[in-house]
Amino acid sequence: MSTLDALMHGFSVALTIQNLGWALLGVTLGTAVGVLPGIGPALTVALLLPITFNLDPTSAFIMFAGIYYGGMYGGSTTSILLNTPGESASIITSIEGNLMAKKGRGGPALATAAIGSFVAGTIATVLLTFLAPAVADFALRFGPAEYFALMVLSFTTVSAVLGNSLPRGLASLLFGVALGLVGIDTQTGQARFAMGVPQMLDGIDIVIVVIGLFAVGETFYVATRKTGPETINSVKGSTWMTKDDWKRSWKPWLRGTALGFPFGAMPSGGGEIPTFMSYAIEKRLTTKPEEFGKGAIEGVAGPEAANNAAAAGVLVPLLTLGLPTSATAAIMLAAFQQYGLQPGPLLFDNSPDLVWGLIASLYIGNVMLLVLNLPLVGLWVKLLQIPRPYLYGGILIFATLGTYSLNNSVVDLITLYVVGIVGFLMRRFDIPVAPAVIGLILGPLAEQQMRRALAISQGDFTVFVQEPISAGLLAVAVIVLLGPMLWKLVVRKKPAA
Amino acid sequence: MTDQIIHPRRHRFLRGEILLALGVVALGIAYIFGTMAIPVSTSGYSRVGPADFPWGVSIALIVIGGFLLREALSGQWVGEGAQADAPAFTLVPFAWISLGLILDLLLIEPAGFVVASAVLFVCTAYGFGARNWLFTSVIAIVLSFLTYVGFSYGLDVGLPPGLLEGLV
Amino acid sequence: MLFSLHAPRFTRRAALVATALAAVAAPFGAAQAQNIQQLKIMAPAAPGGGWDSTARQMQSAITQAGIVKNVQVANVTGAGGTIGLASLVNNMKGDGSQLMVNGLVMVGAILTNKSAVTLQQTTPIARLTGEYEVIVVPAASPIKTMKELAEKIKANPGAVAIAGGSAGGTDHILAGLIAKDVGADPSKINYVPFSGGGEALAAIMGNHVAAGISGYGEFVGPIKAGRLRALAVSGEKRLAGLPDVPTLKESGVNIELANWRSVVAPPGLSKEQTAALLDVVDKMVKSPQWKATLEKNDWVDLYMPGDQFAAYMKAEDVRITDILKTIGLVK
Repeated sequence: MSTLDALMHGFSVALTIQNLGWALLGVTLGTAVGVLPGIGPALTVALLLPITFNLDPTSAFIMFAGIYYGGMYGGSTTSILLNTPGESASIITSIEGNLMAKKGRGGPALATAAIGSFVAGTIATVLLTFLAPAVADFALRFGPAEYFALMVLSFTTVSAVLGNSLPRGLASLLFGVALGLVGIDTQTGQARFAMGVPQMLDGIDIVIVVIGLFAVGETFYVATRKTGPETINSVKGSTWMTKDDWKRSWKPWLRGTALGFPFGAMPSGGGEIPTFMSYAIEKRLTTKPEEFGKGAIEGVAGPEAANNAAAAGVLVPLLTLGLPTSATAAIMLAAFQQYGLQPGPLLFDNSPDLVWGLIASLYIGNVMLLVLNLPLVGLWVKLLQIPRPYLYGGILIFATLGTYSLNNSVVDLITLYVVGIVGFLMRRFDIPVAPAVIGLILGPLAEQQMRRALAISQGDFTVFVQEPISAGLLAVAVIVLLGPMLWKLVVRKKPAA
Repeated sequence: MTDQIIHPRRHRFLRGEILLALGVVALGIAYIFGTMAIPVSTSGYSRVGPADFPWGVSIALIVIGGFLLREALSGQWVGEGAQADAPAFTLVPFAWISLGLILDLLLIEPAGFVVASAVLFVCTAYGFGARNWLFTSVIAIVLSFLTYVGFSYGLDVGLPPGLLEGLV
Repeated sequence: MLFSLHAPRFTRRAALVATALAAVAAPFGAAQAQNIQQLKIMAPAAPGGGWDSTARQMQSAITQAGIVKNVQVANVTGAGGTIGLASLVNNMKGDGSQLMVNGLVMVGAILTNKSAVTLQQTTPIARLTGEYEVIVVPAASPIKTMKELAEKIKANPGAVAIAGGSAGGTDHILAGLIAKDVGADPSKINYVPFSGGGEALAAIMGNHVAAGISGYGEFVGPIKAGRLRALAVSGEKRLAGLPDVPTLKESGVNIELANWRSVVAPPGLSKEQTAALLDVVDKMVKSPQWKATLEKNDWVDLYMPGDQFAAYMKAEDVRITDILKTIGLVK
């Protein structure tokens, strides 16, 4: 098989001492920036790009891929232990993960995240190796109408994180959607809700909202509760996964992978939406529904796998079509062009060393990350033994650093503070925080895609049901929303009949 | 609104839950004014213009605010402060951390990243109960300084320099 | 702002005096270029984009060619570059060691963002590089030539959905200019803006829109792979990378548009200060390092220094503002 031969050739490129070194540097750096709030892989690669200009392209890309995968691994650590996710793809992880940590099960939560990431990353890399062209072609069948339908379906997943009150959950969701409206309307170029502040014209950065609602809001919340001087989440029991944990984790890993990979491959799919969906599905399928909302391991295993599989999925259209589908991918594309390379089908013919070396390095990077992260679990958990004044002081330093470095703008720090207070009030008054982030991500996508689809159809609303993919997705959304109600009706009628 | 949060049972109407519900309604009303300020362009074929979604969101905010108010008034919605087993609560740390964040954003450009971050760290730590000023300040400066060096030189992030950054 | 530290008040006053003196001083060429010890280049966009990479490539070319030892790049992001522009005009007046990267896109951003400051308030230094636009259709499209596309737009503009980048950007501007030239109503074109990250490219390749407009760099790969059909390029002559694709002028559309990138300096510079900056840029453009950079990045050399560039920027400002108003983007 030519693909296998090519892959073997790739390994021979990636397994040189020099390239292994770059891969190790990449995954270490990636894990580090993933752990810090607000400093994501996209920013890191962008900043390192000029520094690596004199490097051989294959080595540079092996390092970039390491940063990229490493960032996905590292992102879950602070969400689980401190309820302070640094990027939007790990907010879902923080829901159950942090509850597990609060019960002293931070070790198993970190382990299932790391192993799930490894499983998902490896399977997704295998899919990338063998199925890339087919997946890329399928992703192209999604136009604005299909995306709008997909966003509608994604909105139904919010029901899984609404908490115990519909109005409070929806208020949170709407708050996110409302924040998403701020800035220049991309379809017409008109300013909306910018209040004359030029910095607001680009909209409110999702990173600021995530850091504000979680890191700053959580800091306020923990500080104002007088719970005595004890260190938080002292680890009880094993830091390692039990047999039961394994049993409950492997299916969510696989389902998360199956969701994440195709989503990553779609333009405007990204890593967040499959994590929402994975959480919603695991909540429905779990054998222990009573544990959801109290620290269910499935709620960590599934979304983390989805997140990592999406990361590999993103590389499919990037390498096969030259199509970037995430911020990091866009910067990697810029990196390709800086080296005078044009991603696309021809890249496989023109630069086989680079493409297959890169793919092989993804396998190696995954192994390195697992080896690096599993022993770190014990070390990360010790993070919680830092006295709280210094731990939270440090968190806020990194939160403000991450926010400020986005745009070098004090306006962003003001936004961070205000959103932080909102996050604190939401915690204090039992309003779920996750729907706000979901609303902020999905709201603008749904609106823009709908208006694009309508522009193309010249205002014909039937476009959404005329296309088979779009109609099918909308039908699934209706079933997800109404299905449980209908099911209850059927079940209730049966004994009577 | 500090008092009401601490003693939720003291007032029947001035409770945090009710104030929050009214806050959501107020946000909806503010959004209506914001929506009216959006210039409606005539070009485009989509029939859904830049102001249509904002209208929907504004109205939905007001409606949801109404539902929240009903939940709050009927006693179905009880925030943590009013629950029997809730830990004791104080807003003093909130004030200290707020002070830290506000000083940070005021100082970061004129005084530089290290000074601003160290002040933020000290205020936060004080809010969390650390009383050893000297020790906390030393940690704050060392941590901020190392962070600055790491990001400025490792990643070439342009953090604002100030008094202390000149040392490197 | 980040740079307020570097612009103490007395320099501003000194600058005013200098400008007044410069008005009666010797003509431009005779001004003695001072030596610049330190150079600051502002990229008014986030790391990774076109302006940022221009700034960083300038940095490495200038330092490697030994023109200026200490060159720093800073990003001032936001609002299509107008936040950086405002900072340059308001906070850096008279600073003879400061440059800012800008380009065609900023003209549109100034309008859509209702920016209080304009490009006319800066000191133009030089146009450096640029990229030409390519008009494409999906590989499966029945449209084979630019002429056919133009006729379709003229006949029923609504039916020809054109995908491109953000509203008011280069792609939108070119769509408007084409419509105007072929006799269609530019305010009636069905231009569908997509955000970056290849979304427009995906919509065109997936056959969801009738046509697409974007820069050469974004389209060249899919065109060569046969996934897109290029109808025309917006340069004055054919592009080396796509020798079979005619220019718009060859296809009967009398339009030429380059997505140019340039550098400008703060207002209130003396002739000497301006000359010194021009000298640095001129040396950079002629250095082998810069030539290698252009080649590596596939950037077209559009070097145009000083007064000539000032006139060009003014003319482009007028042309672009006019078409954006005709499109109906701004009133």
